[in-house]
Amino acid sequence: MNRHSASDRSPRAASGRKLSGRLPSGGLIDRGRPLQFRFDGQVGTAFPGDTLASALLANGIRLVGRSFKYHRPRGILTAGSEEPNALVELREGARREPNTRATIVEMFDGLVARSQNRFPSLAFDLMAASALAAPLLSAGFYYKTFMFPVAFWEKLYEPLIRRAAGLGRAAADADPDRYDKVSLFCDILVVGAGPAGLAAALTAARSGARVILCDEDFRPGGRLLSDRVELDDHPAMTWVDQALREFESCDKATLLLRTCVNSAYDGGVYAALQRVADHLPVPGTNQPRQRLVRITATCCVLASGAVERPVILEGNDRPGVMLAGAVRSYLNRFAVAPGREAVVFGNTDSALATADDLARAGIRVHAIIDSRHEESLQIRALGERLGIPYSAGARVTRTHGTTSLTGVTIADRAGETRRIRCDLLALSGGWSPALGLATHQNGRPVWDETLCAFIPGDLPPGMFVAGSVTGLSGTGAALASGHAVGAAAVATCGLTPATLDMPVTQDLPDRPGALWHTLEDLEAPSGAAFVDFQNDVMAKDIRGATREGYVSVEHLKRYTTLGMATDQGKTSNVNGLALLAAMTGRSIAETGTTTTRPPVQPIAIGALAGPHRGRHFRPERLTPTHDWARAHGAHFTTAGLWMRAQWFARPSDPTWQETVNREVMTVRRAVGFCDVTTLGKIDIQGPDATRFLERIYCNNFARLAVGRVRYGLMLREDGFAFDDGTTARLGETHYLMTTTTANAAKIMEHLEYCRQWLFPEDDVQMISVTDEWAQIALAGPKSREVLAAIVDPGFDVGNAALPFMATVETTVCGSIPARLFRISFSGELAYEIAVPARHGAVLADALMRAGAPFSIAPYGTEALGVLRIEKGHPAGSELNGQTTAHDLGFGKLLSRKKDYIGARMAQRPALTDPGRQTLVGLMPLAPDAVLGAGAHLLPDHAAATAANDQGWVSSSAWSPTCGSWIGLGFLADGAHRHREIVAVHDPVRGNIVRARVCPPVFVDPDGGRLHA
Amino acid sequence: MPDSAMPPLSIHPVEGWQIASVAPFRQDVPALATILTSAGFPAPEARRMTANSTGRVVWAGRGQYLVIAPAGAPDPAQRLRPPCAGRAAITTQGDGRSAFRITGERSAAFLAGLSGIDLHPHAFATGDVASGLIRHIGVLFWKDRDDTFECLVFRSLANAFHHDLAEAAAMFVVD
Repeated sequence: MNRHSASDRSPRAASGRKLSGRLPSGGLIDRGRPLQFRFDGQVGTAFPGDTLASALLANGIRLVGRSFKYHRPRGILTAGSEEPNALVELREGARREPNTRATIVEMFDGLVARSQNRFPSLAFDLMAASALAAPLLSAGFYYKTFMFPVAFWEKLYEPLIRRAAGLGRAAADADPDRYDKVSLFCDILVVGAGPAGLAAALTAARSGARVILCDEDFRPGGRLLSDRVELDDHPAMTWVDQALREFESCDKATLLLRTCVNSAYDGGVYAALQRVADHLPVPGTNQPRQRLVRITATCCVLASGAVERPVILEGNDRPGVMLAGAVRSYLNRFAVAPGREAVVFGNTDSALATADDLARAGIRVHAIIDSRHEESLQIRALGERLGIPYSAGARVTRTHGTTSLTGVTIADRAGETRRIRCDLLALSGGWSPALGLATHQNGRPVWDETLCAFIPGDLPPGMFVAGSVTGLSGTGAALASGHAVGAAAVATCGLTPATLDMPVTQDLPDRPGALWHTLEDLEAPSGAAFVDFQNDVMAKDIRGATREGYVSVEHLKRYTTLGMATDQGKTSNVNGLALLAAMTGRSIAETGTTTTRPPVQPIAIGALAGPHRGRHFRPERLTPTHDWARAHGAHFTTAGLWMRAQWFARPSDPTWQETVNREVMTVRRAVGFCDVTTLGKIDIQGPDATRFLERIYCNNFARLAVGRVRYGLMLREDGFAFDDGTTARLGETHYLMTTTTANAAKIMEHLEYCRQWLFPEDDVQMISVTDEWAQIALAGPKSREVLAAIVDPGFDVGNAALPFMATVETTVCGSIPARLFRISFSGELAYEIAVPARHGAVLADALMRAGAPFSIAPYGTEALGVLRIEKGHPAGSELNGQTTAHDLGFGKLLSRKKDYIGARMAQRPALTDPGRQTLVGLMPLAPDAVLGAGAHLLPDHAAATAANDQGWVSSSAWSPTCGSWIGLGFLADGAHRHREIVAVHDPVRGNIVRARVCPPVFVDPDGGRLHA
Repeated sequence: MPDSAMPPLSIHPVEGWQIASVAPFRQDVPALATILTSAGFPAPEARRMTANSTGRVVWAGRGQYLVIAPAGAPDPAQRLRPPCAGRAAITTQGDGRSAFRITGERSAAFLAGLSGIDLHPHAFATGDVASGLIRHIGVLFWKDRDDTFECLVFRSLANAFHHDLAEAAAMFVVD
């Protein structure tokens, strides 16, 4: 039988106006400095020390958001970082930040916040109609509903559902703030500055340990900020302030507030997020908004406390339903009344004693409802003293109201129900230890039936746990635990633990009784009884999932989304699995928990990126002629980390293509120069240097004479081509190897691997000299004249003294040491001149002066590329890791007289198949028809199908020398198909070009110019 | 100027260092130590740097040392080539590396924060050497004396390194 009270209209509803919730006195707020903020355009007043949540309540605002899926009205459930409901968009413009928990936003003057996920307004949300479609939106709905017609999912259903669901809007503009990353080191990291953490940190600091104490709150104290506790007959905050003063006076102690330790990794490494300037309207000059802190600690004391659980009952998400601990926070810490008429429902004495705090604040408490069957003498006495009816063995079965709580229905021990008017339900289902960090290295929590909680199981190496994260309750127990654990950590660090005078406290440990839900029928849970508030997962969704076979807790999570999203189920996980256990007839221990992973609290992507964005995404490497090139009109491009001059535009060049054509023709007809410092240079010395090179390269180096240079090709172990370059023999046991720009580091690594692991018997030393030498290629028929003008007097650069593939050490430009190499990438008479890097610009200037009579010009990587394609030299596109020496036309280089890396595997049938795609040249029949790199080669007139695909274009360019587009590519049996016409099919650019296959050397095929 | 006006952190490029890489053949480190000592350069142990009026010798990895002489001093590569002939590889590196000096009472905290290497005096003494990464750039650094660290980076990365240090320092000093 139901008995309802005569009236259950809330004071808010009755008056039709908002009531101020600020209490006349008390609280840890600075009433002398009023602040203004805006929420959905309404101006409110707050004080330093407030959170946005406390300020909203103080201004009578209880409806703060709409839920994710059903757009249900939601209020403030908690007073901490576990908040699932009160998510807002904070700030405006480029700093707009969605899904921010109002409960952790520290108030500042001018704060602007908006509710999210509602249209047109919070109070009147048209999308709330989606609740009517709840049957279509049950757990896993996208597997079952909105299936037909098929095409509608992608075009209609999904876009609509995505628009209706979700949370806030990210800022559209780039984040204007800075984010920092730093590393810190300590003996002992203490996570949490509540009573246990403070006791541990103070013990450690007194003992002389290097200590870092982190707390996610902006004020240390933990529950002592919120609960009326006395230590040594004084308010607990007096002890907190004293402890902090002493802690901070220790020179090895660091206190990091607004800092959440989010992850525990191997080797005592922890990641924390410090919200440096989140509490300011705009960060100060050079101040980072947030900082990702990497902490390396010998020991960690985890004193992260516990999170209070709500109870699963019908309408438990209504604004006005608040966790009892949060109610005490708002009353005691923020001096805010979260309601006017309250009912308290819970399963511990401490939760039920919230009635005392409420009464002291002048809030009328209509009932204390204790779910435990055994009466609490302490609470009975409290009820009698305050004149509040106390019922043990009773429960709240449902709430009433629309956008705000107006009453609750209570079932007593006998099952009789009655309705009580109230606008605040202080609710508690007990506490769940906040043990995330203890599980990040696969430690599984352990169920404690007595405590009705999961407590930490196996801990990561070096981690200790203290306080309520272990399941303890009561301030005295927390302090003692913190001190003992702090002392144990100190001893682990090899120090002698100091003593701590423990303050005396009167509070007693709690004895909770299991309280997960108040549902009548678990087979068919009725109404909106929420398990996960943030993801709108209801008891009936859990029932549905178990019916469909999702009885594993991990499956349940994926199927229903329980415990996902920004709060990661901090208030819902244990309730969800308790319900699952009850519905499947198992114990909670048997049901187990899901795996918690980092981070403990959400982290913005910007904080993870830190300073590595924009131009700081990666470092830039500059060539020795970088400034010179910029002064000479260079346009730069990137080559890995390097910035290279792409071309040197002149005002007379109409387009970049004209610039490149001019640079190419300058080299072909006269002389040009190009900074080639970026090519890897490795100095190799040692008695066994020759044997080492013989093993690295596929071609012969044993007979290379001192003062000579040779082209070398190295293979990978699997027989494919790895990299190429020239190696000069500078002395009997001294070589200088060059690599491609892209592979420089990879080859250095490869050589180290070979030296240290494959051939440790080779006595050889190597070091990179890429940065030591500025190297400039001087190319063109007039290059010898220019070289002659810059070498110091008396040095002969004639063909006999310095023939093709010779190297020599000399001096240039007046005693600058130099190495000359007569090598050519362009196919012209050419030299590479290396000088110590500091002289790079001097050399460039000298070349400009010496080459002026020939109209010398610097050229960039574009012209370099055109020149090498015209000459048929393979580069990165050809050495792509899939080509063999045979494919590249270098089959004859493979030595048969020695062993070398890749020798055996290069002989595999698949790698020696004559039908393999080999390097060819390509010229379009119409000279101006663009050959696109990457295009497919098909037989002429063949259909563009995979079956007809016979090769591809690896490099292409407009050749001003040939007056035509030209290309290099790989074509099946290419060496035997010269003069054949093929189709160059470029589906990306959408064209087909007919081209003639030719040898891959377009310029000076007999090499006469090289030897000129 | 009073000492209190000293900046907590300052970063300066060091110009003109002459650097020779020395790597003994057959990993014969004791023989190399003898050669270095007789040339006036004290040989350090692994992960250490030594300094005297001739210059510095910095351990740079297994069997690899950087011998550093200040600007204007005799070229260490030239001095070491004759005694090292056939016994160690000598390679000039003075143009390949750029040096920076970081000083100030907060220099250790600043550099530790960036490098991820504990530089507390108990963990990293004067003369200790470390090789690490700062903002993705490979750095060899050592503690030259109290509150002073010296860093070497590849020359091509000097500009990026200096810029990154300056950016990080700007954020560091506002704390």
